[in-house]
Amino acid sequence: MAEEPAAEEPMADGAYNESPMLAEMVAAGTLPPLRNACPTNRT
Amino acid sequence: MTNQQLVLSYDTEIGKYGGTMVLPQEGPGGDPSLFIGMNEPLIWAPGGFRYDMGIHGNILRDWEANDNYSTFTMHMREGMKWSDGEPLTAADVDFAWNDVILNEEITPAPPLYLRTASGADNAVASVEIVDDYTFKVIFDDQYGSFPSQIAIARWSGYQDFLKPAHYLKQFHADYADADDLAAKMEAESIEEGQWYNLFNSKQVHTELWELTTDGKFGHPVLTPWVMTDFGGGSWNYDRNPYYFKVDEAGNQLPYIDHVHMVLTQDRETVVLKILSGEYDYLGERSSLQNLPLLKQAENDGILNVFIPRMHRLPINWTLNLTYEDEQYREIANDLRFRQAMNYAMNNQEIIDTFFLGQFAVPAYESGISEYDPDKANALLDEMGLSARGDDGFRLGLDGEPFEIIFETGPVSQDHIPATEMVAEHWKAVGINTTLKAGDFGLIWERKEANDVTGWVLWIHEDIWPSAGWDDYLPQRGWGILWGRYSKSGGAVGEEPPPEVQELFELHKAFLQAPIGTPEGDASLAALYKNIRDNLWTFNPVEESYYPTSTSARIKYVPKGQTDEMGIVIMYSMELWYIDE
Repeated sequence: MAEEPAAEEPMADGAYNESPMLAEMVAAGTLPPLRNACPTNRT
Repeated sequence: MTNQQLVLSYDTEIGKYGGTMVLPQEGPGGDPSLFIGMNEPLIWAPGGFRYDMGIHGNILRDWEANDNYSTFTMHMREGMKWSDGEPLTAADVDFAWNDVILNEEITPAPPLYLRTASGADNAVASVEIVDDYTFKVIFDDQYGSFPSQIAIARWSGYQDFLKPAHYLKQFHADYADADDLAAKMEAESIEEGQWYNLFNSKQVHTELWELTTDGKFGHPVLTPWVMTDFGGGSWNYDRNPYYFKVDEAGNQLPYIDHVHMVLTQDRETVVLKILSGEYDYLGERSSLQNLPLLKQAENDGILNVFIPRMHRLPINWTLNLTYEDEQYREIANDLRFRQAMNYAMNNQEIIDTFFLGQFAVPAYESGISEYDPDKANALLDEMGLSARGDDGFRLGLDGEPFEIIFETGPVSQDHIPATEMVAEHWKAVGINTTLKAGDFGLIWERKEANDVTGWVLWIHEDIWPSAGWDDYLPQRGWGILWGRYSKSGGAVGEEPPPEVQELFELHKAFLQAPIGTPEGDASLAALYKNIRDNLWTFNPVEESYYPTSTSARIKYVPKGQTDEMGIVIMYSMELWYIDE
């Protein structure tokens, strides 16, 4: 169970917080880092 | 934020990550709570139905219509991904439309709303791919309600327009390797040549409901959670790592990591396991009779009880005006009879008994709110029904005994006892009325075959100013043969009388008008007036509420009575979080 409080401030473009569950998967190499999965182009 | 993401900014609170939500699964064939909680429409109006506030992007980034609302240009979010990490692009639209919806083997009858104003005489839309993230949906006439059709109507999601081509091509004869496809068909015991049956067993159709069943395991999704395993009466879901929504602080949703569904078909068991805190959410099919027990558990710190608006006329009594019996028809088709039976219904007694006196009001939009047995008796006498038989009940116009039979099943805890009460109300003004309770599936089939005189369910009309629900039309059950006539363009069935013809025309005008505009509001008002003037069905109460609850640890759910629709609260399940 995650007990960390959520971030209070919005993140910069293209970045965002993720569940510790996903962070662990990224660390274990079973999930690509979300930043790479998230484009930054705007309309 | 990037345009991949949808930032939720209305009234959200910042939650906490983690945990497993445990819910009862209603049946092996799916679950309504998780299905709505997972559902993602292409576009969305605030509060689900506030079209006056605009219909905005959801899965899609944005949309626009041409001047006469016949062509809709859809803008996708660049860089959005399916739950397996593959990109979502207009190639998925091209596949969904040209290879699935328009493939007559896979889709013999595309959903009706894909024709202009759901008109059987209109052509199915065409779809034009503009670029990797833009497509147009083109109809043969004005279809102003189309955006609401793909917002919330029928709980439709995104899947008529977006299908994971990279996954589904392996089951499609035009793309799959022939040997590989033959092997897959053999493995699933599908007859040679019927590859489309394999495809249909793998694809998710109009209703995302299917995502809560075993059969679609492995199908990539755009929903907050993804099924990871199932068996032995349980289903497990993990968060979708590519989900497109973030909260205002930039936290990717959902907050809850896992969902565990446990098959629990008995409604009383569901209530008991909610009361003990074993399950996290009761769902929407609970009777108000449970409220005292729920409140006690809330006082004990186990539950959070809330009482949202229900999304329908909760109980609807219907007479089939095209039933094949001359005497029955002559009486039921006389408007004075339907007025009389409205006056005969004691709305307040129904509200006091089944809605605890306060969670519904006497129907004013689709019924006569006044209870007046004298008026009922006067109208029945005026019709020529004054003669009584030996049993004290009114004889028919032909001097023979006359009886109304309502058929229903235990579709809620209240349907059978409430029908017993209405039968007493009608008997009190001399109309012999009985209840025949049975298996509702069988009743539905006989109703569709025009073999039922009267039946009881619920109805969506009145509180949903939304296109896409058309259960106020006669094919729902109050004029089966008129419905057949309309749906077949006059080939079968029976030509409807002018008032019913007018209802069909108003229905089409409502669907053609841009929703949320004065033109749309005016056609909806005309539709309501036709229903109110003709009292096609019997609706003693409107504006009902129902009790539900979550375990106390689930946050971002309302407390107490709320005017929010229960369904909309469920739609925001990705914002629920666990704090204990």
